[in-house]
Amino acid sequence: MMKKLYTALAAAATLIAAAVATSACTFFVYQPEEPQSLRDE
Amino acid sequence: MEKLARKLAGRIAKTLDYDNEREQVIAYGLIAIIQTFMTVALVLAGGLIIKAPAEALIICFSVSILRKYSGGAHVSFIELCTFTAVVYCILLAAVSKYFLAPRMDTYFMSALTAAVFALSFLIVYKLAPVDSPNKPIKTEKKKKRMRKGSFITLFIYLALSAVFLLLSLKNESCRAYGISLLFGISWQIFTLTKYGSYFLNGIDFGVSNIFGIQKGGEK
Repeated sequence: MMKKLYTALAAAATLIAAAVATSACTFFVYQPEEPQSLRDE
Repeated sequence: MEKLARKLAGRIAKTLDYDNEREQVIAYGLIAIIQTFMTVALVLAGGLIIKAPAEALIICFSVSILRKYSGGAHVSFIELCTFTAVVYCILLAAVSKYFLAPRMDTYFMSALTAAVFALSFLIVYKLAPVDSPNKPIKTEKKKKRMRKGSFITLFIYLALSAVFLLLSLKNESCRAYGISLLFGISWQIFTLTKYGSYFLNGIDFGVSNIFGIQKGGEK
């Protein structure tokens, strides 16, 4: 049960992370360190 | 908030046997979800208390949507960001609804709208996108895309302002919405400039020293 919940949460978080990676900022005035794999280099 | 997201990401990665990079990506997504949800919920709650929820949310979203493309100065921990957002949105929503909207006439509001947009287009043209060490924008392609997105967002805001201005002739609420939108744009444009950066760095430095908080929110 927990494994299914974590899988769904991981999928949602990855989707949001990818969406945020295309922008210049997450929300308002804080920007956590962006993971290397999401960086546009 | 960030600690909670990283802890949860760690637990997910351990259970699903993910590597460190995948864990970082999940943590990054969770931080965005938690921060957005908390900020919007607190701004809405504050807005409901002062009976100006629409004005508060207009300021919050107008800043965030334009910021998505233009970037800007940041603070170093998430709680201060949420606090800044809530205080700014609630305070200026109250000023828009209870102080400026009943006193401002259409001519003055038109002039103010024109001035704010002229300055915004100029600053976006000169400075956007403003990146941060935590999320550098290195490629020219992305910089161009971000600047273009900033301009498109500003044009949409301009159209919305014109609609609010027209509707404000008959409805005072729409004048408050229009003023709130101008406050949202002004804040975001301010954070693109070096003065905005000094201002946020000053708040960051002061709060961090008073509460003994290190970068990333660690005490």
